[in-house]
Amino acid sequence: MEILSWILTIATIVAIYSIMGLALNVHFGYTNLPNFGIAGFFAVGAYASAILTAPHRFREMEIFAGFPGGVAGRIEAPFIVGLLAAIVLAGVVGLIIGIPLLRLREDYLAVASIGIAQTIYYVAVNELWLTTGSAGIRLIPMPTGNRYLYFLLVLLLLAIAYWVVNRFYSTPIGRVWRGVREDEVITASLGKSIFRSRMSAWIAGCSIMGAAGCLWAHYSMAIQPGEFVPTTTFLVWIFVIVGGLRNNKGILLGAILIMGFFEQGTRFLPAIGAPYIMPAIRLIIIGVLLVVFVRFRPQGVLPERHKKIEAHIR
Amino acid sequence: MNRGRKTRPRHSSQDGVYFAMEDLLSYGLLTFATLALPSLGLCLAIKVTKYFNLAYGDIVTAGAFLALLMNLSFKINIGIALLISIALTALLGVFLHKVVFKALMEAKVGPLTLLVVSLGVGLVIRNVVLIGWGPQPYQFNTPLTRAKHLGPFFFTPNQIVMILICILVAIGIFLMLRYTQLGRLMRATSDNPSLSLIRGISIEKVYTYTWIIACGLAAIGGVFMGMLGTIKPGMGEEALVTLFACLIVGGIENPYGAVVGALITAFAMEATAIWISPPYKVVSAYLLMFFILLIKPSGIFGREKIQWKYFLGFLRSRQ
Repeated sequence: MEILSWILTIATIVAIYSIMGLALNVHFGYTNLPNFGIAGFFAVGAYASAILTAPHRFREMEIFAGFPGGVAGRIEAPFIVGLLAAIVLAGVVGLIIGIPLLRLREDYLAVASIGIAQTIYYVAVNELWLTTGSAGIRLIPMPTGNRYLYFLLVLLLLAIAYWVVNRFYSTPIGRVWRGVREDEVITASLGKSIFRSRMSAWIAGCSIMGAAGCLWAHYSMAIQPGEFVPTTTFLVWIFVIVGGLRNNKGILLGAILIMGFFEQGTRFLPAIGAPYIMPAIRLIIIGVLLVVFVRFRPQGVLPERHKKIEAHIR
Repeated sequence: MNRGRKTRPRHSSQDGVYFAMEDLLSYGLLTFATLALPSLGLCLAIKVTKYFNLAYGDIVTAGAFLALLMNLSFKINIGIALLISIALTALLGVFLHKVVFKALMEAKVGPLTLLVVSLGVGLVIRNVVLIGWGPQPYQFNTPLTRAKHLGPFFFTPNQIVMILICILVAIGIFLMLRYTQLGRLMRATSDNPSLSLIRGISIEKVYTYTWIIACGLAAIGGVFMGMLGTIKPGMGEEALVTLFACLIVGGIENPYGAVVGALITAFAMEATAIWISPPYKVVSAYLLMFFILLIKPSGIFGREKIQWKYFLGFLRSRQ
């Protein structure tokens, strides 16, 4: 029974990270927007849902412990409201951030988006009235009450995200995105606005990341700013690159390989020395793997499948 | 003569504008001393090799920890430890370039691919440091000194030496770029790599020297950051985006701009710490970066005009 529970834990985490990987595919794989601020949008979604759905009891406990009671726990909304709020708020934050960012060349965008994620992290640490600071928000309800059912819910949302992202590949807007990726000048000469198509891809991806954040908050039932550090972003990038950029099946495969085995699979190995050594070794292996993959197999395990033109025309 | 200054708390805005200005000058200069040299090094690396190296922050960390190793474990004086750390960090940089980046640059991959690779390299360096020293913060073993008033400034002797080293090294790098053969080679390679190659410049050698200089400057920056604060494995990663903010404010491939950008960013950060809120001082550097990217992406020394229309009319623009 314990082993089943452990597999369930891994599977849920892998599924939530896969949703983020699919969102990164919309950003980087389809539209060539290197988003290194995934952790920020993940945090926006997680905090939006956690603040809305935290029970009154959490706020009472905070006040009892001597903290000023914040926004969290005032509303006690149902899960679906939290999920919608996470999606909408991450999209709105993406829109606001996208205005200065999306005019930039790709490498500037990458650096600036790291700054965005760090800014969101600092807000989460310091705005006590909103996020209760580094203590985090606890007692977030799990909507199904049962981890098995919750895993099914996550799988359902993963399936929806997969379907949506896969549809984007061949819908008109998705084709414009890929046109922007391949050649901006030609796309602009066909009358498409580069900025607007980049913005639509950016908002779509950010909203999906927000949904993943909401699922994470309700799964772990307690969130704190330390979970939304750049390492989260880098993990998503690494499994997307290893699994196969621009191929949604490859992203699922990469999530299972990297997140499943390296992040969770070493859990039962004997710990060497201090408790921080094992995670550090894992991250070193992941970093080396990234360098090796980009050097020798840049298209990933499963490369992009080019559809024939007839498949688009129909 | 006690004029009531010594007992005042740091960052108190109630004391009146004069004292706050004094704090701003002192701490702004100190932050400038930590930021200027690494941002100059990063600027040279980007200028010559043409990609954004995200491992640079972790090279700064490595420089600080190598100096820490010399200073704490081998009981060497901090000045000599700094020199040894510069040499070792430069070696590390050359090693990284030869092992990882050289082959990729010869394969003509895009700057974005190199950026992603440098991310992985940074992850490896950071975690090797973490395994070696653990997550707890360290401090250098330096003799205790008392701060003195020097006109409007309030510094310890160590800090005065840091600021002097920073200014002298920066001037040295500028003179090197302008008047020496190596500086001319670096500028030529930066302007047009293929033309330089045709004219008989060994580009590989220029890259190697650039890495030596950039990583040496990173080591100095890391040690200065450690002298002012604490040394921990995440310090370089935290400083990285601030360094990019300095570069973008001054114009990304302009060495003078990098130092001026560091000055502006440092004072913006300390002003935020004094008048708004200390935790948000890094955020103010980021916001400055976004503002410059929005109105003048080539930096304050760039030739283009300020584009105010992006600020207001973004919804109408079709491009």
